[in-house]
Amino acid sequence: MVEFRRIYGKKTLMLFFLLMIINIGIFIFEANPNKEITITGELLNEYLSEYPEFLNKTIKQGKARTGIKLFQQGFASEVTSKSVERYEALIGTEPKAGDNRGMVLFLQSHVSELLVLFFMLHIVTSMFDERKKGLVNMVRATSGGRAALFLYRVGILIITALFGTSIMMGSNLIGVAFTFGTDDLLRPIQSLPEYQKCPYGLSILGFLIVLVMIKALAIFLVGLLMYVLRGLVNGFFFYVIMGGLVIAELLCGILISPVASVNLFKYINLFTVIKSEDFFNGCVYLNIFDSAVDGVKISCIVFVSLLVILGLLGFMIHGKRYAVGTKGGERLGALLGRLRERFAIQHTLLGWECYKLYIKQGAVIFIIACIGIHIQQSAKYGYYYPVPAQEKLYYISYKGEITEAKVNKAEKWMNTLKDSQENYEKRLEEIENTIPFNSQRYQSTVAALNNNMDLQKAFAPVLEDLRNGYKYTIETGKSVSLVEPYTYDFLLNRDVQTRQRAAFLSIAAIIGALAGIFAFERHTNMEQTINSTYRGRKIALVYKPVLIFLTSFSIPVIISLVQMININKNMAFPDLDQAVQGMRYLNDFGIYMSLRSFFIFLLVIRGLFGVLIGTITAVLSRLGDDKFVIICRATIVIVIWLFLAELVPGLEFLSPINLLGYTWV
Amino acid sequence: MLKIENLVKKYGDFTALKGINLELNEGVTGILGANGAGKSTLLNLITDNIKRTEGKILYNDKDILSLGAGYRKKVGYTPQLQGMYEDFTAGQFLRYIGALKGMKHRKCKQETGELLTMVGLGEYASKKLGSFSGGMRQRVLLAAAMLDDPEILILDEPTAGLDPEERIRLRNHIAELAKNRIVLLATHIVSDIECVAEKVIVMKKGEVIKYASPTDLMVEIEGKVGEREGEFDELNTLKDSLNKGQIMRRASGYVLRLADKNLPEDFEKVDDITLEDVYLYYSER
Repeated sequence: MVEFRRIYGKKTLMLFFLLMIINIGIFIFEANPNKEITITGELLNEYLSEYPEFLNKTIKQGKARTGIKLFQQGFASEVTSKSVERYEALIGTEPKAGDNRGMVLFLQSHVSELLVLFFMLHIVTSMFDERKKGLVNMVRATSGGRAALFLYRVGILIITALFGTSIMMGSNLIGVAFTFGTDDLLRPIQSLPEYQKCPYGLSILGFLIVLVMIKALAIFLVGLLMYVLRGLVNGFFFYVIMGGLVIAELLCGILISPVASVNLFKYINLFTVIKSEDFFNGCVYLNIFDSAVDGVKISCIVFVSLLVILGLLGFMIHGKRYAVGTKGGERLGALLGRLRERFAIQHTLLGWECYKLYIKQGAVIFIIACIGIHIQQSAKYGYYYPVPAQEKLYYISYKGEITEAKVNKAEKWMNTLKDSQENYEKRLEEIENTIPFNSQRYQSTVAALNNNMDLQKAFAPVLEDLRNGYKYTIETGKSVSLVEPYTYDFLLNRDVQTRQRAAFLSIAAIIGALAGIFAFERHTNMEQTINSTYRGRKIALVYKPVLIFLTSFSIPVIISLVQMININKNMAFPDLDQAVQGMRYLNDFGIYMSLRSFFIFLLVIRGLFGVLIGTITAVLSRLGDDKFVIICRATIVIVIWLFLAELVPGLEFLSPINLLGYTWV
Repeated sequence: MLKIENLVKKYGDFTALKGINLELNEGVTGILGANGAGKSTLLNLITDNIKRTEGKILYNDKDILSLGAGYRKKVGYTPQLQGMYEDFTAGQFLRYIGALKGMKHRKCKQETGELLTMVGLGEYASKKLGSFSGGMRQRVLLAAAMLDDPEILILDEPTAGLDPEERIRLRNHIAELAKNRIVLLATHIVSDIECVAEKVIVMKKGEVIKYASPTDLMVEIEGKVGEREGEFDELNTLKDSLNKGQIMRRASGYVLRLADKNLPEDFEKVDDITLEDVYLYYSER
């Protein structure tokens, strides 16, 4: 109980609260009701009606294959025959229609597991605080300070895994229930098209329960592994080994084929288990000496065995091992130290402040992590904009400077189209009133009318842009050219999700990078020493503000550029040298500038709002001495600001996400 | 010369320093006083880390506030708390302090090596400060304070937490450094001052009680220090009733040693007066 209270102190609870906010925040961004999450309507009904046929076809094909001599032996043959048996057990399953969007979104999201794993890492690190504070010998000298303490800590790991997973995933479930509803959870899991191939006769509710339990168990196992490893090696090597294991398991999970002879490593893999999708999206069999062995059963056996082994190992290590550092670690540390001194660089004071902030306080890790996440998420996102072909042709044909002649020509064309529309409508009336009724002529006239309407619809936005551009020219005397809007429409208007994610990650990176900028000195009791030196006061007055500005300005700019670069890969940025007033939505923009300058201007504005966030963080840093507490406080300030802006009608544009995300334009 | 004129420091209603007047010259000046006497407050005022309420601090007849950064260039300071960046190596830390002191790069690198050698840590330049013992950290801080050859060296409790051997080593360093500079050494460990200080400031409750050489201070209380032999319990009871004195163990048994203006008659006067007696004489009154 005492150990539990020590680990789950104010700091840990604040961290969990922070991770919950991040979890809910990311989930809210992804839960867009207008997004295409899964098939609905007619397509879904089609899928549901065809499911029994799919089942029968799969069974039939499997049986046919096992009849062929070539497939009568070995791993492939056993997989086929065993899969057939599985699917035969599902005959009679009737998937039912419902709104699946919520469930699919919930099941596809894996951010919560990452956050719980990160939280688990914090818990394990806290358990080794006694080493950092030099209390190991004191603790180990007590009657309850060895094996008994280990058992308490295993209990804490179980509670963390179970409740952490349940609460994080539970909040996501509440989120989707609120946004989309969950519909009937007693429907078979096969009611979700994404789980068509699931070989288990589970309801959606049953599936959710099993999923959460599996994830919790896997996360507990990872926690136990981290604990045992941390007990064996010191800090630096622990992170190196854990990093290596994560990369190895991720690569095995991604690169190894399900039917490869080494598919054992794909499925007996903690990260595959945490994701769990692979086990429910088809029949999983492991290739063990060319025999197909049930993957789920083997995974269970292996992981339960791993649990027992790690538990015993941990029990022995905790009870027996003495608190000494590893020789390897010390030697490497000494070598690095000697190299550092040999090639010692005497930095300028700004250089030292950069070194302290970016390297010693880990600002560079926050920045790289957030930019990395944004790049990774952007890479998965399909930057697809359905460009209307006819409309685009009109833009091309009317390209160039907007003149009176061009506008007149466009108006004339629109009038021509409208006149044609009238004529077609009159003709249709005539045909309808003529006996006998000429259906062929009627259909061809309808087709012509529809075509005319399509042309008008395609031309209308072009005409409006020409009118607005010309209006600006008349009012200001400045020339404006027609700009093809699609890329810019996507960038500034439609791609809300990327902009919001970019804003969110910018805020996270700024807060993480700058939380310790002043607190570090107080935390290390260096404030007095620094203030008593010749240039010490200049640090707070000049160098730190410079760093705050540079860091918080450049982060949102770099993150914004990721979106622009990704869009540019699929869609060009046309007419960058043309005036911004030639573009839809920006016809009445107050400053006459090119599109290129406009985007630079937007990046600068975004950077300046980043500086505002950075300044708030720095002020909070000035008032505290614990970087983690400052991160939490800054997050709370931003969250309150966000909610207030969203709650007050008309002030949504002042929310920090919108200020950093272009929509205020 | 460092001159302090009528220096007052108040924290709200509480007066930490009550009109201090001092003149400090080259050599080691020890500041002796119990916890809360105002030693650190005085040192923080001298290093301009906190704002004074009243009074002046003059260096070579100029107010240190008007000298500004130029004054701080002449000051080397080790604070009471052993503040340092534990992830830095000793060499890195000194180079950082050198940058703070505005030293030229080459000079800083050179002095870093020399000073670490001087304090006996030449081989540890590439080791992280987090792995250093308390004594080693204190020596690093002393080396850092000595960068750029300051004219004023201010050391706040430099030997706190050190074992006897390390205390002696540090005292020897301090004594060597005191040539041609003003060294202020604040401590409540009397033996540190006894060995190195030329003058001693005795502080109590924000006031300077005495300011003289150790010898003069000891002479002043001649005849006012005495001892009485007895059983431990008896002496303990007597000590509690007098509310002063210290029980010491001799070869012959226990004695209660008292330094007081009105020495009881049954106390035998002693000749071997120490600075500790002086401290107790003034602090217990």
